[in-house]
Amino acid sequence: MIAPLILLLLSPHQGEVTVSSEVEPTVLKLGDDALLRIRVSGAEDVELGPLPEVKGLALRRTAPPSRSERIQIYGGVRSRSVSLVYAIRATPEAEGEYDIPPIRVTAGGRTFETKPRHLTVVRDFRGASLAFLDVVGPKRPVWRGEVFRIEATFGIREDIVQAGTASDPALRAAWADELRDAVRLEASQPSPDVAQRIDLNGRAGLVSRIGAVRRGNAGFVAWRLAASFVASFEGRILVGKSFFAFKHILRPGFGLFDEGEREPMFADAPGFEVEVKDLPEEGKPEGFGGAVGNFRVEASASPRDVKVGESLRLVFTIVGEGNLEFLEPPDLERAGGFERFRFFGRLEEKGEGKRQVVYDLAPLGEDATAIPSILFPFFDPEAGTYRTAKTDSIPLRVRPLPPGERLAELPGTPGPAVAKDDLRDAKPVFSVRPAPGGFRPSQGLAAAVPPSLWLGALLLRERRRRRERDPVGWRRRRAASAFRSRASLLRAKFGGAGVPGACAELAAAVAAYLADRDGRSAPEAWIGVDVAGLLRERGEPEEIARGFDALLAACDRATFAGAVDRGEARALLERAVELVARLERGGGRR
Amino acid sequence: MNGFLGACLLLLAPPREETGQLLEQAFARYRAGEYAVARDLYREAIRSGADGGEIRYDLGNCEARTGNWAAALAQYRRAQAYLPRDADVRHNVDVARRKLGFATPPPGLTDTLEGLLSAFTRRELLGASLAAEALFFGLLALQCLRPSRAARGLSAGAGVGLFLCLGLLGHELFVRSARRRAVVLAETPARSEPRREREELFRLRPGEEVRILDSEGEWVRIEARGRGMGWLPSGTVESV
Repeated sequence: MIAPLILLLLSPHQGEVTVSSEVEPTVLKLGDDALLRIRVSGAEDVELGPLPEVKGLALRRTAPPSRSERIQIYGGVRSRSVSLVYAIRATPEAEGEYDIPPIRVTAGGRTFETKPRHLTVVRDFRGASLAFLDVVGPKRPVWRGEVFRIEATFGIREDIVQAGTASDPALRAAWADELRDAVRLEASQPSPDVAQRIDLNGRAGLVSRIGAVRRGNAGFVAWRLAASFVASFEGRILVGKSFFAFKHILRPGFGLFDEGEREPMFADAPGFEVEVKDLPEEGKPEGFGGAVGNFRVEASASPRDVKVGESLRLVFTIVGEGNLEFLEPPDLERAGGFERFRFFGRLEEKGEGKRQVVYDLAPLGEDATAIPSILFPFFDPEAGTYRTAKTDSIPLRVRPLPPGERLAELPGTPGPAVAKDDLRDAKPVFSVRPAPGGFRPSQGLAAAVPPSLWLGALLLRERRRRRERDPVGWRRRRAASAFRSRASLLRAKFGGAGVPGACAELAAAVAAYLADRDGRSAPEAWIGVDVAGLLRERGEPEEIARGFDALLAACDRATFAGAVDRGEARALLERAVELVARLERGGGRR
Repeated sequence: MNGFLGACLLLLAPPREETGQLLEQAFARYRAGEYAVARDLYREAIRSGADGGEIRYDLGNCEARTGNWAAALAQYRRAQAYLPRDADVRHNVDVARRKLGFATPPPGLTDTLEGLLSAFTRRELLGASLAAEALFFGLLALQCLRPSRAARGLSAGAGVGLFLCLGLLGHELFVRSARRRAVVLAETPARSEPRREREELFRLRPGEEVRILDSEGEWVRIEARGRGMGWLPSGTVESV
């Protein structure tokens, strides 16, 4: 059961969206086209962003994307992967170096960007006699999960190097970055005495200098670049065409502004395919953890003289060549023979050519007299069959617990052992709610309501305080406010018929205003009396007092004699408003 | 803009009934022991817009049952964001950590404080803050209109409560959310720069919990407790 999961780990997770891009070829002659392929896996709702504009390089989509679906079933685990491949044709207009910027891709609701790609366009491929490039892959079909190696050997003719007329070596090999359907393994860096930095796919990369080699009658100074991969899928892995380029110095430069004359030279190696076969189901041993290669195993334990329940370290080491990084070491908790041991945990260490697992375990009884031999099944790719390596059993001396001491109370145990099925079980989900987003506007509104209420209460309190502080002023303001309201209603009436009635209402409004303002009299007390005298009594200015008197007299005339037209009536209203305003601004004090 | 995109995604997502059916199927498959199928169905439901502590917890169990303990731990951690006080989630976090070889140390003062600060969900803290705010301003308004010593005392108490709630909410929004924790899914070297060929600083084990500091293309910059900072391919960690 574990093996298929390990193998599946090598492939992109189902449901995980991945976006990759590749350009082929990376070096081309002027007049040829390159193809940029953008592969989107794990999503079908894909939208390709606008193609970037690259000066001197025309980019255009060739056709609708091609769709492929891959379904795999391993040990009852079914995985399905859908891929869409967009092809973009790149047509250069002139020779030179081109950088294709990242292209935005929206897939599965997320936005991705492809890696920037580099393209070299030359007028002609010259230099095949001055340099060489060999790229070799595995000589036979490889197995899924097997580590295979691709190696490029390249060089420049010895006489050119010795004359110092070669510069800017560059390798254009897409496989050195990534290979579709294979996982690139971390490569160890070349040792410092042979390492040389060159341009590798547009970036600085380290290669190993291997010195002089002979090819035919010519001698070359050569370098090597190797990369290891693990095959993830059954099928064919395409390794594209590779190029080695350098500049042949025809005339050296003499200064900052004279770079001399240099001619680009190229050597190429054809592309090829690596065939990947699936591991056979026949003969697959129990506990196979996806190990493909040639391995041997060792085990050691310390201390070997322990009490019941006392922790000991079991070091299990896998040595050999193969997919050490990806294989699953034996699960001793489930392996036969380890029932009389309690496992506290394990630590893993990976080193060059080895994988080490340190199990922390303790014997549960005196009858655990030996650590059983550990079986490690693996697939031997050379022989094409499964094999099983095993360790020797390790004898132990297990002493009983002192009387009265219980296993669970042993000191130094990091925690209770995890039983095989110690997980709390899954629960049914009763309600479906959308994934939580940010704050909602309704929450902002809810947060704003209480402070608004408080501000309202503050205003109310302030209004009440003002009224208590200055009751006369408050009464006057209210009277003026009430008059202004009535005046605005009267303005509409003066526009229509019934001018005498409206003038009577104006008189009543003015009387009501004067009475409200006074606070001691009814509105009737201000009708038909000497208004000017009353106002003078209350200390109002003479001019305003007489104004009110004249206004009320005019209203009376208009009401009873009907001697005003609409314009005059409106003037009366405006006069009343003005008088009230003047009284409020500078009225006399009581 | 994010709100608008979110609304569009919700519109594009399958209706709730369909998501509910997916979850029912997933649970039935889990019960039947078809953990990988159940896992895929839970993931499908999450992709369709549903989420929650129970879903993440169940998905974590599927990952655990298929032996993928690091992914299980990541899902349990996500479940804890929704259900911070759920005993089952906490228990399974401990189981996953032990399975991955990490002992759970006895909690220190910092851990206890951190546990208290993370014992509430963002939704709960927001609700409590709104309630405390309503109470505080309501009492202030009452004090304005009917001043009394009791109203003054109560509004001062409510003010302290509001301050605490806002402090916790601020911690959740600006400290915890900014931390962007993640779980390492596979043994991975942390590198000095976001390139494969760069120097390896240290190796991270599956299940190690790290902080994401930054991202660049397909790489993320992380900080591992007591080990420093480094760059990892983004596919090797799952943010929680």
